[in-house]
Amino acid sequence: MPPKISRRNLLKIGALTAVTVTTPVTTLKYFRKTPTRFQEAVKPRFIRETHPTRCILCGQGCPMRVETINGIVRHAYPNPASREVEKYTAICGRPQGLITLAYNPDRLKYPLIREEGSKRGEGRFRRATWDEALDLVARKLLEIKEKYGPQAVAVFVHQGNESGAVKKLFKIFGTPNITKHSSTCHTSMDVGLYLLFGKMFGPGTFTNDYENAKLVVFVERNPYGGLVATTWAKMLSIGKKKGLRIIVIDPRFTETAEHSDLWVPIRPGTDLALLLAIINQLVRNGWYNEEFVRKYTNASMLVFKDTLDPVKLVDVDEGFFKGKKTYLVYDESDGKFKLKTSALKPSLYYEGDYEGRRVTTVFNLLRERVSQYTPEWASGITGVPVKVIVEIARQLWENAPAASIDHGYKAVRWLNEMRVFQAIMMINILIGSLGQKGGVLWNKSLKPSAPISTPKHDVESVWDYWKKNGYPLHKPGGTPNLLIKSILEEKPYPIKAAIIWNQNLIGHHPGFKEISRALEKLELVVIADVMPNETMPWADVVLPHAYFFEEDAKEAYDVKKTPIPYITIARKAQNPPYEVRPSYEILDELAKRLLTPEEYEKYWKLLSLPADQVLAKICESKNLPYDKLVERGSLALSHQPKYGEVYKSGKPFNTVTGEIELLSIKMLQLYNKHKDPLLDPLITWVEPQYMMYKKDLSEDEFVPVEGFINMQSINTFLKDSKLHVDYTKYMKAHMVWIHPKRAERLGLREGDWVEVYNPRQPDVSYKVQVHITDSVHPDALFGFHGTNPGPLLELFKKNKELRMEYTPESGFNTNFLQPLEEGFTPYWGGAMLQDFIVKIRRLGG
Amino acid sequence: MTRYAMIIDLNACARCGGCVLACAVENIARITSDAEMANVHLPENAIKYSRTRPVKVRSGEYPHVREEMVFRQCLHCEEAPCVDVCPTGASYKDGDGTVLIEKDLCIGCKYCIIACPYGVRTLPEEQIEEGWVPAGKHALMPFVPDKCTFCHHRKEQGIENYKPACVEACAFDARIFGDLDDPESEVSKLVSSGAAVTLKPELGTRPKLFYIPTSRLPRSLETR
Repeated sequence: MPPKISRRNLLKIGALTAVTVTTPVTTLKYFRKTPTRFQEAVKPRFIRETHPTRCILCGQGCPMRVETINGIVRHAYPNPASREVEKYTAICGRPQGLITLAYNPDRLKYPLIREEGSKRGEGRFRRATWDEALDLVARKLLEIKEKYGPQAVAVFVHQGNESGAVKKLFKIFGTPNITKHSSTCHTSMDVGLYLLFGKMFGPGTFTNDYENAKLVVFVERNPYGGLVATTWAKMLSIGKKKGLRIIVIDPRFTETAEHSDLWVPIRPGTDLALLLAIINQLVRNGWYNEEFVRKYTNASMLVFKDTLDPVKLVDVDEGFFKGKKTYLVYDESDGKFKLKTSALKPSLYYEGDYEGRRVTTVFNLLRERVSQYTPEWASGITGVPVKVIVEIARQLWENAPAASIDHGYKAVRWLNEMRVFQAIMMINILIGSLGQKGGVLWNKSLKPSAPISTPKHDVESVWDYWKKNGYPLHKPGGTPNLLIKSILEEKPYPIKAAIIWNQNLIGHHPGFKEISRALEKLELVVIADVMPNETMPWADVVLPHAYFFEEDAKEAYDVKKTPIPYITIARKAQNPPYEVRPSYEILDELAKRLLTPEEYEKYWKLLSLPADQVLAKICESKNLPYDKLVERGSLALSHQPKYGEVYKSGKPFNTVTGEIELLSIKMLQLYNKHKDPLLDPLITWVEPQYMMYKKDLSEDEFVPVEGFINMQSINTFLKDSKLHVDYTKYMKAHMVWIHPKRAERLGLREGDWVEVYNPRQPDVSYKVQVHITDSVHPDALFGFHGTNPGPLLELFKKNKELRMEYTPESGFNTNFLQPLEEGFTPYWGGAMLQDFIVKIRRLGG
Repeated sequence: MTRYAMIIDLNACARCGGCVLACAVENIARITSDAEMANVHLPENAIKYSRTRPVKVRSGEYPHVREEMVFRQCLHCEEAPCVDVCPTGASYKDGDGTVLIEKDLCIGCKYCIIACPYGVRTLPEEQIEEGWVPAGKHALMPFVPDKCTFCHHRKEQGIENYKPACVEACAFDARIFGDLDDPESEVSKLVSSGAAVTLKPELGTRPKLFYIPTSRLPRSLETR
């Protein structure tokens, strides 16, 4: 590539030549001349103020204080009011660059309306006034409601202080088709945990007690470097000082690996095999906490050996398990069959005949199942040496209960991911570290949102429809992919409008071609955001709202990922610039136009009040000290977690038995219906999808692996923010990482450009630069997610209204490369963001 | 006497880059706010000029790779070679031990850049754009060597018990700043305990920037 000579570069070259050819004296003259302003401006007055808020650059919501100097945001600090719960309070590098976010010349400055005559996807917009834009949105939405019903409006929301209010507004409007982003975030984990706990627990449910742990094993997780991780990084940082040891299992040498005692590079998508082999070792060598397993799980449940059906399930009428079912066990203390609730020592190992049929315990089934998953077997799949696998299992057991495998976060990479998280938590349960000091703790939340009710509507949602049609395990309101499917297939009814609030469907979601086709089908696409994003070219109306530090939020928030009840508020640090308006103000304007006066009065009214009054109402309803909360900005209601709590909040789990289920009874029923090994009620090996396409990779084929650089985020806030982009480039995080052996065979050198594409969808591709490093597994093509708009780069570089000037030329985003149908699992619709094969092709000479 | 020193605790450091960005905002960015809108000016790659820059130090070969992020910045040597070689006295050691540059005295000979055994001085080679409002006399200037000043301008502004921007931004207590001559300060305790080490002590430069290395097991788990 010839070097680009921009105006700026030219200036630079000119200036450099001036220095080389002239004497230092002239240089001095130059300085005497220009920096006179330098001398004059030395003594400006500084008015420093700090404002409490929560940082949502990545979705974690860390309490912090933003410092302004003369009314302009400058630095950010962790909220000092939180020092007393210091271990749960930190902020990372992202908010230190707030100033280049707020005053980014590319940020959305005024409402935009798609140019008359242009097509969706072209990204041609004209400036509009707020009234024009809001009136247009409201008129269209009311027309659609009139003609097709309110359910014809689909709402996609992601993070943002106001996301709760957006959902409420459209619930009042009447549509049930409102979705978050879970299926591209953690859905498969929710299902894995559903098998154990009977409820879809997300990643915010647990905290590993790193502070008191002796050993933590990280699988597919990087709290030091990645996303939504700062609180955990802080606990790790404190734990490290106390001697915490860390093992990292990852195809890439991560930031967490820097702190680790051992990095275990693993073939992409095969973590499950390693985890199964760990379970194999724990069970085989007796490295499990027998009492814990007997007491808290259904391991002693007797089931018929042929059908796996429980021998007996009996309602419990009283006591702790009231309303749940208990089951038949074999009591070792007297050798009799009894209900578990009345047995002294339920056997984990009994096998025999009961009324003429062969029965056995769930634990026996588990032992039998995992007996095939030997370390040798796993080593063949994962490439991890046998002795390392055995050693990890031994270390976990020897350090239990102050040892655990990290609960994980992102869980939408592979087809087998649901099993990965079932296995992780199963290991923590087997070694008895769930709920224990140094193990895995339950997080606490207060849900301090604005106390407003929403009306019930009698409309079938797309969620009801997909529950009955192929996705029995999906989480309603968490699967945007199913809502897109509904738009494309018009099932169960046609959808006509999409409200996309702080969500970037095209950049964030597999199925670029299908999503753009879905958006093109609609009558109205409205996007509200702060910065241009990849979905925006498909919008009819773009509403620019304020950054989180530019408005007073009308909610209080849980600091979600902590095992103590801990809340924070979000206050304004500076006014939004240009014509940008606060989100709550935009929502209120929409509410005035979309709701009937009765609806507005009855349901919405509270959110039209000033933030202080809403906060006061929240404090009143949750019995919180308003003055203290507002003064401090964040408030912890207790300072230490509760150790020894195995049941979440001291209540039985949502399983049929109320216990942790090593054989899920709910899943057994589903399995009997579908007979699909994916739905096996016991833990099982599932191959990643890419291995089903092809067992051995050719020379130019890789498995895409994504991570997050700690200066980028899921939303587009940082993709075009100068300081964050500079840091990203400085760390070579905009390049893809290739192992030197692979690069050598392909004749690639550092900095070469390659084209990446998926052979199953070869018409979408983009250019990336190559960074050659042996910090990555040879099968993996590693890149940091979404550092630029991929195949849409050209559109954004030249666009007048949607410009991304700073975004790097090179960037990696698997979402563009996958067709919608291949990007999501059956039954629960979790994304499989990395579970395919990409090819690379060298560009240029 | 005061002798300012800094410790970077790599064991506590979360590699978040907060210090790097905070430094760039404090020392590199120029902010104008003459109109109602602020403008932020930064050089083409601002991180290159940040006065603390992340560097990955690598060792070992796959699969026994080790990488470690450390931060390169001025070490504020007691016996500073850059001060010794400066022909005009532009590089000097302040009364509080901080090594600084009197930018108006600099003739741009770059001797200090060559003399620094740690290679931490940068040379900004970008033209200042019109309308930049400098933060102070220690701010980045084109064609004049640049380096960490422990945010000396904050002290000069009269901020009591001042801390550099990177220290204030660190949420992980990985940057510790204080007076080496005060035996009660955290820095002097950590230095005298031997927990904090410095770079190339054999050169006799006596740096006042220390590192606490990442702790890990002496032998890898595999070899057990």
